[in-house]
Amino acid sequence: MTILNNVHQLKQNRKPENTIFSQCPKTPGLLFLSTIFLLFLSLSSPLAAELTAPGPRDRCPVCGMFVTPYPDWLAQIEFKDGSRKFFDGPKDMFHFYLRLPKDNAVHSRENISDVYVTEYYSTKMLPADKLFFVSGSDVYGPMGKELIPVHTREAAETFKRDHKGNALYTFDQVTGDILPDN
Amino acid sequence: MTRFLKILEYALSSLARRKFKNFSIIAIYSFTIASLASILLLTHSLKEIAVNVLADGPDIVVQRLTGGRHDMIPASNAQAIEKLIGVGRVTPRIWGYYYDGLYQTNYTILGVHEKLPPLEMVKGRMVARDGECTVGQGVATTQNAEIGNELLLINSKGIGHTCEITGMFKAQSNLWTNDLILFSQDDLQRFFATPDGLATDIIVEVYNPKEIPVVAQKIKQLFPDTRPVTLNEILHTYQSVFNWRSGMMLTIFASSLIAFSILAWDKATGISGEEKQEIGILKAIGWDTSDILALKFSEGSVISVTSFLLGISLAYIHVFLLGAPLLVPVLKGWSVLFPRLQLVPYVDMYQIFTLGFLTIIPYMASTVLPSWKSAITDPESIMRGG
Repeated sequence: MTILNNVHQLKQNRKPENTIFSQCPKTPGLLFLSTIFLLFLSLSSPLAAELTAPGPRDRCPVCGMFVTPYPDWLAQIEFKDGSRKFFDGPKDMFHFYLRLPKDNAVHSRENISDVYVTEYYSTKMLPADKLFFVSGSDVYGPMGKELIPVHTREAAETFKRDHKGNALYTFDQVTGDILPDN
Repeated sequence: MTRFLKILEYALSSLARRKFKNFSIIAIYSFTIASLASILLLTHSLKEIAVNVLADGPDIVVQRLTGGRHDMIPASNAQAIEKLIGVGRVTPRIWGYYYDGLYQTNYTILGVHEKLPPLEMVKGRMVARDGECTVGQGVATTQNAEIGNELLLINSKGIGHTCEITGMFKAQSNLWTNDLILFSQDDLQRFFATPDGLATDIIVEVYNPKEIPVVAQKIKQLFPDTRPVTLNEILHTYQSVFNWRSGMMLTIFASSLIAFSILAWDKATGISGEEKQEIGILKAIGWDTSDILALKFSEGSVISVTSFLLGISLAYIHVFLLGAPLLVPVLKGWSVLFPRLQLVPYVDMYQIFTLGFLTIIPYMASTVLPSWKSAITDPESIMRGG
């Protein structure tokens, strides 16, 4: 199986879409400016995602795993102060998001500027509130059972049928009860 | 430390005293390593090349079957496939093989399409219009062609078709670009006399690799007369072909390995009376058993490490500098008319370590053990020839 993985890894690296990650500015000042700029940009075009890639040492704050090995599962929450958290799947992102006001002294839900998850069919980062989440499917992420983010209701219905999912949720409908355990 | 160095010095001079025996062991030992390592290096390199080629390859290739045989597929199928969710670009391709009787080589001719993997140009430019072609370096070398020359090929009606060579792309590390000629799609359709609206196959891009099997299944349902071939299936085929071939070669060479083991065992363990006497004298003049073991250990390591390094170097030269002339006909297997393939030196350290472990350790064991047996017997009885 290692050779198969190698090929998919190579393919991922050669995909032109992934190069947007390499264009991120390196200095903190520029980063801040570009975040402000992106905030304005995101108001005008909601689906245009120009995102910062996680570094090799970035871990998911929920499970503690490194996030870079799973580009197809990456999720991120961006705060208004420019800081961001990376997750290795929508499930962990929701765990973090739903517990925010209680567990976290620094951040609250009001502080969040954007939530992005990697859409299943296009493997691109899209704003989470534009997507549908399918539970109970036979597609597993790095942390086991997942809520699979799919863009458009039609595609989500197709995914549910193809992958034996049991329900569709919008971003606001996701609660702690429906998050899969493992 | 100085004690060990003294023992090593003695070991070297003792090896030099039995020049003929030790040189013959080194020669056979390194020959065995060289042949085994050649197979491992060549197979690994071919596999890596295949992986590299396939990483640029399409996620799914859709072929149409008629009576279980490949047939031309309607290009209009592409539109229906494109509507499937998760599918990126869908491109009908026209391509085929061409045998050049003049130079006795096979070429692959492909119509230029949008989803062509990136080709690194050596010089010139890509095909822009009808009457032009771009060739792989392998083709250019066999044809002795330069940019601006005309390439003459005989089409399906038996009429000569000339096209102007506009550029050459790099062949290195790419099995499939070496023998490749690119035509414009329309030109190629006329050249092969393909009926309008038909293509050789359709390639499908799927963004998420996890979704490839689902898309393939849907294509099969949509067009029951087609066969969607996924990237994984192609990879498995490549893998099993290379594994089978290298397995066969290794089986043949396993007999040489066994022959070597017998020889090594015989040479190393069949400790001669003279050697036994030497051990006895050393013990009598005050050497410890551990010193004698260190001596035999150094002798064994000098021989096996020398032969191992020599063998690996010979294999490397054979495979990557000379192009594995002794193995290629068997291992590569496909058309011998194929233009020359330049192997890329990919070395798998894991394989080298395994090979080292499987040859060095048994040899050392077979030299140290019998000496240990002699070393623990009474020196007097040894010297009396007991």
